[in-house]
Amino acid sequence: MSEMDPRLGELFDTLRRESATAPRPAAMAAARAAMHQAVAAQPERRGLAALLHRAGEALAAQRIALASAGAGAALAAVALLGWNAPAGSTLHAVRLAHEQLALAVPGADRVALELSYAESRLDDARRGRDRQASLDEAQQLLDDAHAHLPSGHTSPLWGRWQRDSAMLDSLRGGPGEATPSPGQGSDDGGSSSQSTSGSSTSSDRGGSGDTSQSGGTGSGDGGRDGGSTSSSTSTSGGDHGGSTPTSTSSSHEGSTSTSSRSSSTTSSGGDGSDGGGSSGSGSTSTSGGGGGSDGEATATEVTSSSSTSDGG
Amino acid sequence: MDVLDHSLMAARPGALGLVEAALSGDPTGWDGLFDRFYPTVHRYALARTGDRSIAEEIAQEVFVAAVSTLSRLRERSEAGIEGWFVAIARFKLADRARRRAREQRLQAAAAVEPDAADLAASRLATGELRAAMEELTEEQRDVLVRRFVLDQSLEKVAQAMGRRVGAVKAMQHRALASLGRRLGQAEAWR
Repeated sequence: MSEMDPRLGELFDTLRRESATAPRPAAMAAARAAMHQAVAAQPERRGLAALLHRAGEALAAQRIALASAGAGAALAAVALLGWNAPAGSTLHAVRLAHEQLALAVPGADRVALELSYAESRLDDARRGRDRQASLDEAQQLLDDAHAHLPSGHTSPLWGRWQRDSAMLDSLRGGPGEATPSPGQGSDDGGSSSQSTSGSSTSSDRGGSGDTSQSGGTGSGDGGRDGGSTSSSTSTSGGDHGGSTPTSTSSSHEGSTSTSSRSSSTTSSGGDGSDGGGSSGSGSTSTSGGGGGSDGEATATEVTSSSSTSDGG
Repeated sequence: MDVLDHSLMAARPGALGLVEAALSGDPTGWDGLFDRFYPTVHRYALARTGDRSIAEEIAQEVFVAAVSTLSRLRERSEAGIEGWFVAIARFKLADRARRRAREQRLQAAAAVEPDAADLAASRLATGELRAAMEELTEEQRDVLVRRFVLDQSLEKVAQAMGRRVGAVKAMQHRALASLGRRLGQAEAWR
């Protein structure tokens, strides 16, 4: 109490002495009885309910995940199996849960995450894993990403969104057709993307690769190269991407892919002429591939849809 | 300063264990908490009100209220758990003050009436001190009572209030300065 005024110190001393008066036994007994009466009036805390409540409290307070190692191992197995479970599968909820958790992390790059998740759905669709459900989820994720993209189209993620949208459009365009034939830009584009379901498509559009590829550059070849590069990088089709440069070239190899690619490249490039719209159109054309008419038609359709979404 | 602390810290079941026992429905848990913290709660209420009957009522209200809110207690230390009970007492006192403001003023006035010179002087003085303390913020008041009536260390007060020691020291400093000014003014008016 060195800082205290001596007079104030004396007052506190007096207050201390006065308050040190022992509680009266009768008052204590009455208070204890009232307390026990209140305890008795809370039956939900008794017995098993009380034990469960306390267990819950202990877990929350001490952050204990599981009581038994067996249950923990089982949960870990479920988590592992369900981590990338495709849409429509039994364990898909696990995938949705961890994705939602990642999105909820403060500071998380929401758009990038949504695009990644969409790209993984597109990859699932290309591989034929619950195709329709995967495409539907990809659509939803791309819509969400679009809503979160900053206006002005300055973010580099816009290009990625455009490419992914183009891929989605191409995947939705039709049944998985045969690998596009050389020279059939449109066919390629369209077919590739579709038929490939996997490789072709991806390579073409990249699934990821292609997409990126297309998005990558404006010109066909350049696009291809760029595409390959970008695709590997940008899309989930990372695998495609990775292999894209080489495989793509090889797989669609060449002809088809080339044309497709060029098409795609040209169109989508996110550079796609019109940005969002472009992407849409881009993809369209791409799918349309070189095929002028087809491509154009497709492009038109896509453009429309693109524009719509873009207009978004 | 920590005589009371040491007495409380004598070898006895830990406060946390008593809390857990109480929550699991074990009546001995509640008795243990009552025996452990009733004296402190009573003393705190008496220091704040200067009235034994009111302090007893407050202490009873605290332990009845604790029954329904103990499940929300997150404190794990002796000081923290004690601080939790005292915090309930603080809320009860604030409720009482709001509901019976006029009665508090009458009691304060009554406390001023001397029955013996020394006692009167003492009561007058502590009554004025309490009145001056009521002008402080809730936290400042809490710090002063804990520090200079309950004789708790800065560390214990900080732990009970969930504050840093430096913050408690600052509050204490401001509270004492404010009290000094108010009592100085009261002196000047006599």
